[in-house]
Amino acid sequence: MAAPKVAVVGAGVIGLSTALCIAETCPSCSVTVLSDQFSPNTTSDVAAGMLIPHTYPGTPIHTQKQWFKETFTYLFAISNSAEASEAGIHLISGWQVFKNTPKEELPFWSDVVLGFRPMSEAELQKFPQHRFGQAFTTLKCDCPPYLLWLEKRLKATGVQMYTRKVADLWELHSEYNIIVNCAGIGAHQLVGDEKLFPVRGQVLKVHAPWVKNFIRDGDGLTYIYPGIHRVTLGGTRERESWSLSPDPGTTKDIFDRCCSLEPSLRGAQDIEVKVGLRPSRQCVRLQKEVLSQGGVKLPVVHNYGHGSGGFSVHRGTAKEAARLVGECIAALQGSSSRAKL
Amino acid sequence: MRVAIIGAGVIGLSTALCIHEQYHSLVPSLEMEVYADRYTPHTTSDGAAGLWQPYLSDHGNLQETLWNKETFDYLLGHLGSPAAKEMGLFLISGYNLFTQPVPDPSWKNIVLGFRNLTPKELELFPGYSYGWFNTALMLECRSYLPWLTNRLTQRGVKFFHKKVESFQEVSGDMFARGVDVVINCTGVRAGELQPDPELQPGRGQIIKVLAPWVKHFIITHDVKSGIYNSPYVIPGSEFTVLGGIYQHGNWSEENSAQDHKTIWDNCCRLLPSLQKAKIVQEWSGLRPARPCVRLERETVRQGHFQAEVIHNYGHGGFGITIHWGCAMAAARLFGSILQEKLASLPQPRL
Repeated sequence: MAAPKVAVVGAGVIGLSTALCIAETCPSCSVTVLSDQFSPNTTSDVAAGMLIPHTYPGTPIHTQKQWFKETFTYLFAISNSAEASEAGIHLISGWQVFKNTPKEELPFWSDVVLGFRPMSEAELQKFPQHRFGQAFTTLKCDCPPYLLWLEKRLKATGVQMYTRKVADLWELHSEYNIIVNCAGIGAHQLVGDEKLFPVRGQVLKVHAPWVKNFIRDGDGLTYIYPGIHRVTLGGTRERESWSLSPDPGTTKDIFDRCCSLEPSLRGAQDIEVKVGLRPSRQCVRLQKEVLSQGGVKLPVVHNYGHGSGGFSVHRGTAKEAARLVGECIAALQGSSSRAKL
Repeated sequence: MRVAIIGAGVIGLSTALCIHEQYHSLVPSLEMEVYADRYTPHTTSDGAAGLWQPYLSDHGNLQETLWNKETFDYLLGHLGSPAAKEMGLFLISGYNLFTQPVPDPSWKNIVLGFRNLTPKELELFPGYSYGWFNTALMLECRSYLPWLTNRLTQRGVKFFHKKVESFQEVSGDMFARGVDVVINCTGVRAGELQPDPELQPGRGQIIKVLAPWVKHFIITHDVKSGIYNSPYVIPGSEFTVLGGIYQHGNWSEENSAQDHKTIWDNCCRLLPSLQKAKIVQEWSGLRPARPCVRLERETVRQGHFQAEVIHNYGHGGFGITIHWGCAMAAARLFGSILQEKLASLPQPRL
């Protein structure tokens, strides 16, 4: 097979980073990204992009930790380079506070982030309603900059990107040898995955440049994540809600909850409201599948279902997906050489 | 009772406010006036980034350590108030970097979450093998000085744009009625009012850039070159300040191209992402350096007049850090002057 033609469906953080990994590991491949949405209209663009992992109940912890570590290491190097501002990657320190001491005081990722330790009494005084907390330094990927930077890297390696709504993976079988499905929440319809469900998140993006630290309530519902230009205030976790329309009552509720954690936010300006549907699943679907129709086979690599942890593990899962693509290519090359006999 | 404050930097304005807050109700006749030739945004305080951080060593000046603590606690108490944004006050975390292990500073328990840096964190800063992480405060004078001015104006304090040439000028018979107390907050030019060989300029130069992705302060230290002669990066609410110049005895307020290059090259080496930062402004200022802060009373006499002077100057590169503790100490001195004046009044016959 001369130049395997790979189509990546989806142009959020998973699709773009997976396409980049494939282009990096398989220089002879022709990689194309197809998506009905590109930045700034993807789910990733709504997210704050904080590197604080979500725990997937269905994936072994050591695997999740590996994905997170690979992602953290990759972004850490970029944050410490001249490209950091263009890529939207920056270090940020802050606190995760709990009203009740959590069962697990040391999350699996505590030795991957920097300087993880329990908060001191003096630090906790800033949060009178909370009794326990953790302080650490992690990374943040601002979107759109990070997605735009990935798009720029992709173009530089010759990857083509097209706006196209793919209704069925079979549409692509005549043009491409391997399909990589990074459709996020779109996989619900695209491949009929009933195990994939949306968890609706509404956030506010505000102008409050004096806020330099992140604050997150351990319940995952209230958070303040300062980005390069705007601070993301969140949020909600509404299972099975497909609505992309901002809800004004929710906006007020988010704002009030965040102001009770950080009173100076009362002075925030230019409040923008955004909604995203986290593509949630018990575990990330990261596996090969060979679709078959009328004697024709179509290898597919799935890489979707990252829920609220997409940014935290994106590079790790992209590398694994690229490895699976490599296996598909080897299988195709093996069968094509057998066909010659 | 007439009180004149000379100097409208962070020391002058905060001392004025502290005294007025504490004594206005006790002295209904209190008239307070501020005299200065430079007001915000043209004071030395305005050029400072605004980070609360004392020098590494207090050189045995335990009183200064206490004033630093009082300032930090006072500001921390204001963090949650609606005034914080207007004051230019906010929390900030960051790094102090060294090329060798150093003893913990006197302020380690004043700031929040003080700890040593982990090996992974030190990987971020090649060339530095030891360091601290802590959360401290920023107090931006371009907001704080106008805030202080507003509080003072609301209280009826009057402001005069005037260069005071001598203590006599304010307290003597040039004015209709003499001033009873003069608070001398003249900073680096205090020597023009009264010679003080211990007061020297500590010239600094800074570059203000746009780098909103920088969320931490980074202060490096070089034992050989001395305080502030090693690069530092301090992000503010709008601009990030790059610095690392301290020239003892240099009175020049002109920007130096050589210093610009030193600052820029060193800071970009420290934080490579700064290479893409847009330069917005350059500024030079003179830290009012002194072996210790001059905070004391003096009775100044000239011919037939006299006035009580409270000196409050010589805060070097830690004026913002120590300002409120000093203001309260100056207010205590004012209180003792007040007591003496009341005691010397003729007693009513019983």
